[in-house]
Amino acid sequence: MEYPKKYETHLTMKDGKELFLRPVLPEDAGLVKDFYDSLSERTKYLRFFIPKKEARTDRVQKFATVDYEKSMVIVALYQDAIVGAARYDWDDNEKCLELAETVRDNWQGKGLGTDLFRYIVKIAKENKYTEMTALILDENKNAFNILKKTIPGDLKISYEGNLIRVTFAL
Amino acid sequence: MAQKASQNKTTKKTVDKPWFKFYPKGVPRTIDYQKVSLPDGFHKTVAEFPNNKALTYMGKVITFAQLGDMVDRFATAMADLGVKKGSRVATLLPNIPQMVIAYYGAMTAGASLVLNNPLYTDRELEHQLNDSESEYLVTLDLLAPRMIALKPKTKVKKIIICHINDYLPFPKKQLFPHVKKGMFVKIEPSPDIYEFLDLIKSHKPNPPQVKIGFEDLATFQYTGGTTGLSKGVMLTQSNLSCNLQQIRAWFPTFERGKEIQMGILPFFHSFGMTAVMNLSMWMGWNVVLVPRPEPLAILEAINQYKPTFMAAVPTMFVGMLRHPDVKKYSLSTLKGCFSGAAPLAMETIKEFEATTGAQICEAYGLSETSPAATINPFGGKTKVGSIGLPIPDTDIKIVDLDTGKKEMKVGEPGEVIIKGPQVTKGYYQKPEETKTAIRDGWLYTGDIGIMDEEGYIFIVDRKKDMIIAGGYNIYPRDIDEVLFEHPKVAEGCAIGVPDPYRGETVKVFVVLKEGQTATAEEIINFCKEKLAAYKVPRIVEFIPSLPKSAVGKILRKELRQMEMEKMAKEKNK
Repeated sequence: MEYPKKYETHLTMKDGKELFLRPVLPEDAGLVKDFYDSLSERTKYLRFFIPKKEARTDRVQKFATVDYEKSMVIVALYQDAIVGAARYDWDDNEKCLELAETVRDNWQGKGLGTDLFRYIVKIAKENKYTEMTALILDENKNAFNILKKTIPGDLKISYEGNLIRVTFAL
Repeated sequence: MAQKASQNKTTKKTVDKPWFKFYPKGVPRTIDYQKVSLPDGFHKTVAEFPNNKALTYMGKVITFAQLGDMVDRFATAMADLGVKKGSRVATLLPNIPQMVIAYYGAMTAGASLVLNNPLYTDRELEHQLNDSESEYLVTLDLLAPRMIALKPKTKVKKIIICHINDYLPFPKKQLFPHVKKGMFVKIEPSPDIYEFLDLIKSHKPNPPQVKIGFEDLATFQYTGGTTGLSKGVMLTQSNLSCNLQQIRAWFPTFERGKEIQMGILPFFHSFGMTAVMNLSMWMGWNVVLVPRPEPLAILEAINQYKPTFMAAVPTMFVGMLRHPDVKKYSLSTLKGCFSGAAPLAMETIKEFEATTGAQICEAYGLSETSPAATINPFGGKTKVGSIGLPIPDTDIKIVDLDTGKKEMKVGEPGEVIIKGPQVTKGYYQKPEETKTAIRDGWLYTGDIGIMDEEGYIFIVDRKKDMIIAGGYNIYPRDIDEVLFEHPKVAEGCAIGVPDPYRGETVKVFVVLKEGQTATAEEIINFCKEKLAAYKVPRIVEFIPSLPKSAVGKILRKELRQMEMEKMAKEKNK
């Protein structure tokens, strides 16, 4: 599918900072690598569930190359740097649309995670998806709270050891 | 008397709970606690039973009068070295007499004890010594060269050296350095390094009169965490004193000054500290110290010293029963046993009870609960697979996993939460973790359990990601982080796999960086340098990639499932 320009948008943060939100592009690989390598070990751990080393070029390229249909990545840019990213991917095995998002450490706690979440949910709905799933570490209270306060309907929650699987209707 | 008085108050003070009906005869619902700190309790015992045996250590007997004298001399020495109320004194000792002397001596001088496992590596110890702000360290000689080297990276000012032979009887003491060369290290005299025995000899038993408050901080118990570095559980005098009084009340037939207890659980661990060392010092019992609790050493000690009570972890019970010479030893003096820290298989309980005639009471608790929270009734109804009933003054609820507020119905699984006088005030300098773990006075254990209609609790799962091997808790994240540091490793992930002896053992899956090769031995040796021995993976499997979800999150559960399926297949072959 072609790059969906319609999903480009601007976002004004509470402190007045202007962010540009848009789908990721293959040429963003360098920006994605910088973003990933800037994350603290804890933020990476909460995202991937194991400690992670520096980003490998092939992995970053893969992250930046999506079909905008079964996979979507929205990046939030501030002064030409990625400060947050949200993605969903269709999981053919589990038959579910899985969500993930990450915000640069110094941008956390400002509401960007919630804004990115709302925006990617809107896009998923427009793409006719009806349900979404997120896997969250039990200790990641922030992520869980974003889902709780943002989703109007019921959250279906199941526990897998220290992981919480949250599923909700879109 | 205290218990009698409390029984009278029972109807007024306690709300009826389903488990009360199953308390054995003589166990009170609530206790009128003696507000006596551990050092005061110890000194009371010394005054009451001066001539009773306090410690038996490889043939050497130390009476309570002698032990009291040593404790007071050590307290005087510590005060002389600058220990004041609130000072942190760390220990790095196995179960040798100096552990007991240092614990009660430093506490008498006003210190809080920071208890460390001698198996820890420098990396782990550096964190714990710094986090607890320890200024004094009492260590085994074998570890002293490492600790002296580590000292500049910590706030430790003075180090006290103990030798295994310090308290051995003649001529074992004199021969030890020659016979067991690898077990003795002579440390050259230098400033701020002291010999334990020199301190005892050069000080009179005149400790300063330090008032130890019931709410004063008594110990730091370090416990691993899902968030990486271990956290210091703060236990007060009140937590520890109340918990041992609760345990004491649970076993009403065991008399003050009359029992002999096995000292095989390490005293640096909350289970050994409370259920063995503190309980015995409070009750005037003789503790048989076994610094290296291997099956043969335990069997020989039981046979020789005829203990009546033994607290142990499942691996120890299994080890004894499996020993080829178990039948050669008389274990019949044991009247009761206490098992905790990991689930005990029913077959082991039955086999052990048949061999000894002593009932094993399975118990449950955490460092955060000092540790005892539930115990199976001694002489009462026990249930297969249950961790027993909440002990006096301990309230337990099973609540929903989502909010932690809704109480589950009988038989429905949920998170086990605990309230009682033994529950910690929190983690040292970790307000966020404390707030998450303790809400409205309830400790959220992260264990998933069910309670039946009679109040018996069964642990069915864990909310936290944890491996229990040989009674020790291991957080896979600790191991993941070490794997991550290996230069050839791209990704690594640790899981617990069933092990007939240790309960569970550690297996790691490793993805090597492109073009790299490595052996399992190389990975294990790397982990040995950075992790305490019990955390080191026993099995390594190299795989091309770790199982991931659609968005790239690591699925540890799938690794576990794959492993279980593989083990089941191998079993069926």
